[in-house]
Amino acid sequence: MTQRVPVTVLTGFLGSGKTTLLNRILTENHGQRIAVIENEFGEIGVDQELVINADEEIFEMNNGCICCTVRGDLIRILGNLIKRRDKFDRILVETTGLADPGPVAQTFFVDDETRESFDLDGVVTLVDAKHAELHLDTSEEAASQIAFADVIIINKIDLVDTDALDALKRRLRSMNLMARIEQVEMADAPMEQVLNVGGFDLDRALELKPSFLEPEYAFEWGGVLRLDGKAKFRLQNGPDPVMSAVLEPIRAATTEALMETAERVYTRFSAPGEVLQPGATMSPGETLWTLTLTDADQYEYTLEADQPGLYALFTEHTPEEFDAGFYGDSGADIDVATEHFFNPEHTHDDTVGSIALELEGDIDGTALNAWMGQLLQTRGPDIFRMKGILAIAGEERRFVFQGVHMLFDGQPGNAWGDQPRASRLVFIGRNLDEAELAQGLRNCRAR
Amino acid sequence: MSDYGLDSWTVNAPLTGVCVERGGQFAAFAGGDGCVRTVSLVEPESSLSVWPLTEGAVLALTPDCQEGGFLCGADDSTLYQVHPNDGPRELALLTRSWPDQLVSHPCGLRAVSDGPEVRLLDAEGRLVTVLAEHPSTVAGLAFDDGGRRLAVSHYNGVSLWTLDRRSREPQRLCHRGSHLDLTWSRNGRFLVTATQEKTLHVWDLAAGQDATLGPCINKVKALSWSADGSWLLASGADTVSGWSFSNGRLPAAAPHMLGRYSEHLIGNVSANPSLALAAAGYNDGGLELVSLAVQPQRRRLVSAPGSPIAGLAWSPNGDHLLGGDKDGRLFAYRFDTDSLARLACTD
Repeated sequence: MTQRVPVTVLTGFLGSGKTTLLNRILTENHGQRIAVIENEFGEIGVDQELVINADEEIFEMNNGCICCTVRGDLIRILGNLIKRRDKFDRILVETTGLADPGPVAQTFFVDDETRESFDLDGVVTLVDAKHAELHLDTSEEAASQIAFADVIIINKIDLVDTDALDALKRRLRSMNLMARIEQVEMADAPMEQVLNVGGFDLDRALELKPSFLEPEYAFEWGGVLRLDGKAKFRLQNGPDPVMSAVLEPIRAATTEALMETAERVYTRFSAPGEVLQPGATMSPGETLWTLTLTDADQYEYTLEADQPGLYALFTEHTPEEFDAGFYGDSGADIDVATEHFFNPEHTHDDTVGSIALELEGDIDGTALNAWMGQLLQTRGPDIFRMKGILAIAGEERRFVFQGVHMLFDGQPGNAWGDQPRASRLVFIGRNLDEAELAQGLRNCRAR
Repeated sequence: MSDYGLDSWTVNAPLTGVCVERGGQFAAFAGGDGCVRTVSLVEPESSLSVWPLTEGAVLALTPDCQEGGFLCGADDSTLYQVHPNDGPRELALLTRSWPDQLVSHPCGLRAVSDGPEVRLLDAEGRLVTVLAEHPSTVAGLAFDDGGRRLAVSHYNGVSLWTLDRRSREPQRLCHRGSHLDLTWSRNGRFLVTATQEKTLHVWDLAAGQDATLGPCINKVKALSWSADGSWLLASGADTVSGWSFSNGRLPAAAPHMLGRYSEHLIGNVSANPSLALAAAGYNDGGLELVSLAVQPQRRRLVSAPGSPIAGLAWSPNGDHLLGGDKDGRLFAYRFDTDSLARLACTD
């Protein structure tokens, strides 16, 4: 088969700097012949060999699935481009700020001729650091652009402070565990960050990043405090009338120790907590404390340790959200020696999120097929993207697959060899139920 | 069958279209290098004339309304007329899209797609009217035999324009999905589209009924009516797919499989205009003639494997078969009519 031409989809909210980025890519001296398929509102002003205007014409397939929408105009334009003797090295597809990338991605799954000649390399989503939170709060399309991304480029980071940037990154990460997140100032992303993403390449489908299997913690913040007797934890009103917290001894004031301790305590957050009223005392140990934060302007709780030393406090929300601080008996501030922000599940009530599942051992191929079939029939519209590596009983090689809504594609990959056999799946979608998905996967365990 | 003549040429460009002009004197090949190549079918040992149109690709090629000429649409958004002796002439420059859908009628009309619009030109190249605004970019155009009606395919169905009434509103034939290539039955009663979903959709205009045919293995890229109009033939499977229209009603959904199964899929099919047989081009470069009239159907391999056959066309009298593949191998077969007729009608 002849070499397929890679296609990069560039998407992003209005004002995120897409056009600037596109211009940078096109004017960089890369020696590639690039054709740009631009949306009807695009304003490319560069001397480009071929800029094609597309009307983003979407149609629904007749297969009864409401999520099965396809860009017919893209099929036509790509079909005409491939007729040329002098092929292009790459195609860039720019979508409007309001576009859902689903139909573009699905086009490459649905049309045989398109996928024969073209290779969907990846979806790159540009967000504007200053306005992204607002866009995500108000626009479903913005959420779906994040969900579909293989690379998220946060632009204009010079316009926000570090805290706001960290909060945005945490939010983006919680919505999409798979994407690589890059930060730039003037849309000055290097070309290699935007091109050759390999997001839809099955061979590279699951080059898992460390963050990939980081569990979803029920707490957003952990901090290390040196306690010697009593300390005050003073809070103002925040986004929640109650907040869960755990206090636990810790071996050192390092991020590494904090992560270790987090692993140890995170199951405690699923047990019922002991409700405390303002003025009460939290002590280290097994108890999950539920702090009451209602009917007053300010609340004070006491942290008390029998042994002086380092303690980690894990809280459901970040102290900043409650304008909280720590004070000694004398009233002096107690500094937080080390802190870490954990991926928040619930800060913004985003209905779009991602779920990573892992199952050790083998799974039964037939059971998996039945489960996937049923899942995609019923939840197809809510599942934006999925990727997985599966250990199928009786199969020496890894099975690698990925999908967009109801459509998916898979093939055998490398052999397991001496590696422990385990299946890993990631779902990105809307209103996903982790318990239900995890149970569905467990039901496929080979007997 | 060895009693045929073959001319072949290799050009450094994929074939993007092939046809014979209405007079049957000249054939033309459109290329992915922006050139149209013409050749005489009547002069012995004639060579290819090369007519460069654009730097990109020629996207569409069809016989012009008058004998001796061709219509070409190129990706420089220009509609060209090409005469084998005089070369190309610009007919129109489009503003919205590529002229990738073209059709003409011997009554002196030409239709070209321009995004969601269709421009109608007369024989002199003057703009007669613009048919607007279709629900999406136009994906197929077909005049009925009399040239009175123009069918336009797009998303969710077909718009049927009656031209002599100067009507501002077309009749809308609705069916969900993306409708692509389309064709009229000889009597103007049936209209058939190929869809994105590997099916055909047929409308019986007299009875006011419609039905989905298929599905096929692949998207149907070529539709062709048999000489007597009783079969509609389609590409897209591992044999020639045929639907019988001989009883005047909507055919059954499942196609008849004509000819022998092959390991490879058929990318192109073209029915002979005077005999009950068709040429089928395979995606491995294979080419065969399939009889439609006898049981069991006969086939002859006419060509050795290569790259996918990208286009096939018969001359109007049915004695020349023109075609080419995606690697730029072009061919012109000249058949002895008697032996073709024997293939069509005898065992």
